[in-house]
Amino acid sequence: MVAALLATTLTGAVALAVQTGAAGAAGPNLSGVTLNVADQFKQYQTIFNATGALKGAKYTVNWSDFPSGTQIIAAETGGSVDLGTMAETPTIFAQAAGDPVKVVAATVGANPKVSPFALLVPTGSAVTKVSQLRGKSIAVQEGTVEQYLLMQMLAKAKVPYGTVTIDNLTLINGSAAVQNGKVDAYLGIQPLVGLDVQSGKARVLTTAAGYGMLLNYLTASQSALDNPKKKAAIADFVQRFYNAGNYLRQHRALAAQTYVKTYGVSPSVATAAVASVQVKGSPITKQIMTYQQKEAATFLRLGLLTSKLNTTGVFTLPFNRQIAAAAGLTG
Amino acid sequence: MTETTTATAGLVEPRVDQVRPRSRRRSLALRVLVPLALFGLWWLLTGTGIVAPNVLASPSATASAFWNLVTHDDLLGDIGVSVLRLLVGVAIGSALGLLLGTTSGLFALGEELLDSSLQMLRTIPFPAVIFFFIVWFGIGETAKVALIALATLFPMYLQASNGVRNVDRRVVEAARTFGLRGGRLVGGVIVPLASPAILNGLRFSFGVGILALVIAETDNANQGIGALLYQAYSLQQVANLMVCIILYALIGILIDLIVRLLERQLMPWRRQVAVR
Amino acid sequence: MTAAAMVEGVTKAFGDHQVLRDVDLRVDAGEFVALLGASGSGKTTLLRLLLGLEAPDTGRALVPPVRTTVFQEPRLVASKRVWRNVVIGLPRATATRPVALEALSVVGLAKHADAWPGTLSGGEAQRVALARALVRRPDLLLLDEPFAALDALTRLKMQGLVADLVGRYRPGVLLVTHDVEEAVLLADRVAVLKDGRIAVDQPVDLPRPRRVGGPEFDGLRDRFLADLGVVVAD
Repeated sequence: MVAALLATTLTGAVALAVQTGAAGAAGPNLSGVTLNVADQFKQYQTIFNATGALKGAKYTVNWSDFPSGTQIIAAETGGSVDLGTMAETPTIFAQAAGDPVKVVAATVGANPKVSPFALLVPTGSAVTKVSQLRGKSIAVQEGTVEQYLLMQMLAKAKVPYGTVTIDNLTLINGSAAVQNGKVDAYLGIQPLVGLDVQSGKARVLTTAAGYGMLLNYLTASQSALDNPKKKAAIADFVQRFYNAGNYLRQHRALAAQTYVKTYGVSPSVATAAVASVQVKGSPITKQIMTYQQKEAATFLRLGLLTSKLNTTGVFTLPFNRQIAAAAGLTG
Repeated sequence: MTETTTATAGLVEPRVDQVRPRSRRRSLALRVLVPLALFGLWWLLTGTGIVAPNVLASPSATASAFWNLVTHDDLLGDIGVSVLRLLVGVAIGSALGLLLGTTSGLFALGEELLDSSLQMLRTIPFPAVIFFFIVWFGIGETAKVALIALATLFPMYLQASNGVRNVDRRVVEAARTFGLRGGRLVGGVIVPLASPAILNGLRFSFGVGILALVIAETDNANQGIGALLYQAYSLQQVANLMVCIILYALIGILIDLIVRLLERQLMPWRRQVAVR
Repeated sequence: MTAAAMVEGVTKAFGDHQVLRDVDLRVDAGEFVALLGASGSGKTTLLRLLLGLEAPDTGRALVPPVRTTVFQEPRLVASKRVWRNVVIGLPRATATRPVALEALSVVGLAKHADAWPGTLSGGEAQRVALARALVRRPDLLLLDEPFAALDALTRLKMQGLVADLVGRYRPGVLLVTHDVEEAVLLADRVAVLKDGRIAVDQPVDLPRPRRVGGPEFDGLRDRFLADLGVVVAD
């Protein structure tokens, strides 16, 4: 069983390497280029490590890890990070603030029936429906997609956003808070959701399945995009990522294994987490841009943005179309 | 005439190092000049776009953000919450520090029991302790006030115990020979004479207290300046960030003025120094 | 005659240094005794034994319940106003402002009653210390080189003041000093402390009011200087 799995992994990795190796054959000489990539909770590192997708890349990848997209954008603005991963929400605020950051690639949720995000309540809570959260306290990290998902959930349950108390806590602090009953609800992400449920102190009120497009972006700093070598490295990196993600979607056991190794969670938690994260690479489509604009409009209406924003400016469309085509994605 | 010249040959006039009297007007003008210049530089850098608005908000953007926060976001309420946390935390911490410090300074036994433990605890950096406090106390007010109290305890302890120990022994001795003992001696002579050091301890306590306040109320609160600061950071609103930082600075200045006032009130005997 | 202070067979050593070896001294009620000695002769130690700030190794020192001291420094509590310093340590009923004012007016400082000690000159502060000592009508007044830190002119005034006050209130007085003329000027009896013992104990039979100078005064002065080992060239 294990041997078979290993064999599949190896051949799969080789096949992947051949694929991406072929793609990166032409272009400027990228040896000596360092790409500073910011990850969140080692998501991308896990994907690359599991599939060996960076094998053969001439540039060096310097990984760093951050707890939120907001911090990654700050690092990109400051110039210490070239490429970062985040959901779409921080890019809206980044654009409003005038940060020199652009969206270069996107992934979307492949299965609207699953989502890595969930709304949790303490185990002993009397709340059974989202509509009962009116007037209660909810822990969510502001400026992130968790906040937008919460807004949509509350809107659907007809609970006005202003009637709940938002506790602006980090994902980790929010997780602890709901476990200890210090907040009435918490919108979190896997694997923290799985760990909270495993502890027995919190339960899922509802997952975010069906809410939102489950967008995830790769953003690049303007200075990295203005550097031709770095730009080429980014293009190569994104392509490898698309291919790796696709591969993992088809080999879930491998993904779960890597999850266990990276986060130290139990295999059952890992499998559930992996099952909830089904994304596929996508070019930046009209649908995505409309979604982004609608989100910005919601923030404007609720007072989180102070002026209107034309969100198309945050995307680098030609660059994205190039890479997507090379990865064989159609949009 | 020649006689005087011969008599004084070889003598010189001593060089006088004249200290030019400082005109009060000029001194005041210079004091105001540098802050004014800094403000002007801020205006210039943001106005001309040399510094991008996502890095530093202009004075006018900061001012309108301030007004917006006051009218739409209950900024005054947030300020009140933060100031209350600070005052309660400092009150508890400095009261404890004063009690422990005077005990350690007055009694050899007190010093033997307390000093080594407190000196060890003092070296624990309190920003790290906040995580423990959140685990123990949760994200409510207790953890925040506890952190502020912990941070402020040590400066006051040190100042109080040193102040008490450094009171002029001869004066205490004299007071003893005139019949003052125990509580009357400590309360009537020793502590008042140690009050310059104790009030200095209060000043240090407040200084550290504000730092502890920022750490305690950022990213785990939904009220207070820190909560606003973290929200501004989360939503990448630079002007709001600057409003919060300026507010913290203003609180610091205000506290300092209050401590100065306290010193004038509690130590009137320090105001006049005999110049004989 | 009742005694104001009694020292019997007192010895005291600090480490290897034997400061006092078998000292006997008596101060009668109302008597002014000056204790002369060179620096380091142990006169301050003897005073501290009488004050209870040190304990004798052997022998005993006896003092009356109401006894006060004027030290070389005024040792006023800077955080209390002058009048409060005067009545410090007195029971609440007597620690009143009128009581303090009375004592202050005797030393001529009534108008400084509300001043802070930090604003007083050296001489003024010592006068307050004197008022503080005398306000309690002590049976024994200990003076530890009280004028050593003052300038010569102030010193003369203070000596006159002390003579005056002592004449008025008549406590037993032990004045510890190295100033021979001061001792002869003020004391009824002069004792010389030398090598840890009372070498000389001699009454001063000069009529009062006294003044410095004159053959009898100078004679006594030179005699005591000789006892202290200082020979005055003629």
